[in-house]
Amino acid sequence: MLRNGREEFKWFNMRLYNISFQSLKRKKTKTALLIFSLFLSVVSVITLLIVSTEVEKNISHNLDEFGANILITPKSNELNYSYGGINLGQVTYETNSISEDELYEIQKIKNKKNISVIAPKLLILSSIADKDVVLAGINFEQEIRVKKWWKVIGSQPSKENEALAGFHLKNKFNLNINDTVTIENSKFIIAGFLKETGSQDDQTLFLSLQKVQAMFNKEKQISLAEIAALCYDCPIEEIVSQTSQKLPNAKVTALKQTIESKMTAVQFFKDFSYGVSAIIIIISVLMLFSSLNASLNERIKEIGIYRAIGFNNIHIIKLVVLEVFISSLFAAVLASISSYWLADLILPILTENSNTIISFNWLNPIWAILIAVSMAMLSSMYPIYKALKLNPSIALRSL
Amino acid sequence: MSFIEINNLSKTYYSGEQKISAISDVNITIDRNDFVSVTGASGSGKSTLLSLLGGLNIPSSGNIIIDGINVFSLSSNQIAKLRREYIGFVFQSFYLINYLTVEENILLPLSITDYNSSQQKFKLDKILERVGLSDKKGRLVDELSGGEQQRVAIARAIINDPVIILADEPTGNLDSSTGNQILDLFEELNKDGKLVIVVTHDDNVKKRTSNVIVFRDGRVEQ
Repeated sequence: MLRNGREEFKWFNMRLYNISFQSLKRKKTKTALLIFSLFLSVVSVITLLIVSTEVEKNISHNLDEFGANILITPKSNELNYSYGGINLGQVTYETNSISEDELYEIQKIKNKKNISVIAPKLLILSSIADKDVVLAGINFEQEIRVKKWWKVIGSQPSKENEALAGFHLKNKFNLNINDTVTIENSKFIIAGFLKETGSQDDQTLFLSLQKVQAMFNKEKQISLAEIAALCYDCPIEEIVSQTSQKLPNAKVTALKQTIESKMTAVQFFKDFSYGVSAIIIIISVLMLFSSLNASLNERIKEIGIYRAIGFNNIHIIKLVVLEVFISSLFAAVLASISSYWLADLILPILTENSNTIISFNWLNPIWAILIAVSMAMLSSMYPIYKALKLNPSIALRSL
Repeated sequence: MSFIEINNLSKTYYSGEQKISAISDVNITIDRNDFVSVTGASGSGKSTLLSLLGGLNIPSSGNIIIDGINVFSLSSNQIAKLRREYIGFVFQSFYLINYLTVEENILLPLSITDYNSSQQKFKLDKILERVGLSDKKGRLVDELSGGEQQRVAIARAIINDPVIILADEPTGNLDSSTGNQILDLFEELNKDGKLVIVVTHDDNVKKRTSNVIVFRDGRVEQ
């Protein structure tokens, strides 16, 4: 037997869902419009969710790298010289130090992947031309990563006999690039200066860590270390606790102000994304409501027919809900796939990083389904209520 | 006791502040095997009576008792069940679902019953043969002629094997030859034991029924 002269006739069991399926299948334009309006809403929200999560990660990562958020100092009450908000007393810091080998134990903590930069320092009070000066032995590459606000005039020292002078120190000794300074009988060439930072770095002369350790017989010793930890998916307190266990002779302090500023920035972006998502959802629900209401008004006669046949309220609800549910599921699946593609297009523009890789999150398709189904159900509640209130005889006279 | 008892039935509509009495104080009894025609001028109340008989409308006063059941003492879901089990509707404009095929339209009442696939198929084949549409079951209803569409509507009305068939101007949109075929079908159904009530303007229909109820200004004339 042929159906419409084309398809082979197949027997089936007529159930309510057949009516919903056939309605969606044979009213293609209406179905496509319903799915498209749901798709647009869900794809906007899910893309925003993916983009905001990735941008949030990106912001968080950049902020984490922008300055240290953990400070490791020797356990001592006698320090009175200030560095990074921590007192490092002139008298005792020469005897209070941490072993460099011990410091790198931090790379063995459980959350080692969160450790982005370790910037060790050996601070020594010395003199140039009989004037006191604070020397800081540092690893230049790590230090510059942790202090992204440093502006170097000249060049970053690359040799052991090269130095980088703080802004006030340069003025105090009237130093110029390529000038030579003598410290403890060793000569150093000024490779560059720092622009004013407003911190103690302005009064400090920065030398190679190994050189300072050798000059003052402090091999493998450091005074403190600044750590930049990536805290997007790990609480800083956890990293501090794990580090303290690895470094029993050191005091590990989280720079809470820094962390709070970062979290405020990240939270602001998060709140902004949620706000935009909420607006999209509200607008979409209103649009969907209007569309479903109009669609149901067109089906008043049909509802009257179902009533005349003997359908009760539950049957009518099932019919409408099933159609809306199937459409929203379809829209959610399409939106889940498309949102990754869209996010992949948008993210490089927002992050100015073409190598951004979006990690797949199973929660996103689940969110897409939840949002699509909830929006569709919410939008169809009043039209369904109206359909149930309809007097069947009036519905049948509507033509 | 009659199968259908209509007692002091009235239905009043309001059009703005104007009160319109569609039917007023109607008392009718109809037996189990009657073939009844309800006639009268347009607006005389005959279609209102039909919608009240089918529980599609609620009366302003009075009651209808079908097979001992007071229809309007039931809840809306119970009335829906009564319609499902006791009544089959046939309308002048057929009222078929145009995105469904002939077989899907006919099977609509069974979609909310416990009939399984083979039971549905058995009933469908029997009814399609009876209304002469076996070769058109896979067609969309819009592809059929008016007479064929009315036969689909009759098939849909009887697939649940109801006791009562309520038909509102079933031949109104058909030519006389096709209208006669539809009336033949109603006669057969009546002979098979169904109570058929037809609302009509058509004298030809009146002649073929066993009982004629005439409405004038919302009241039964004879």
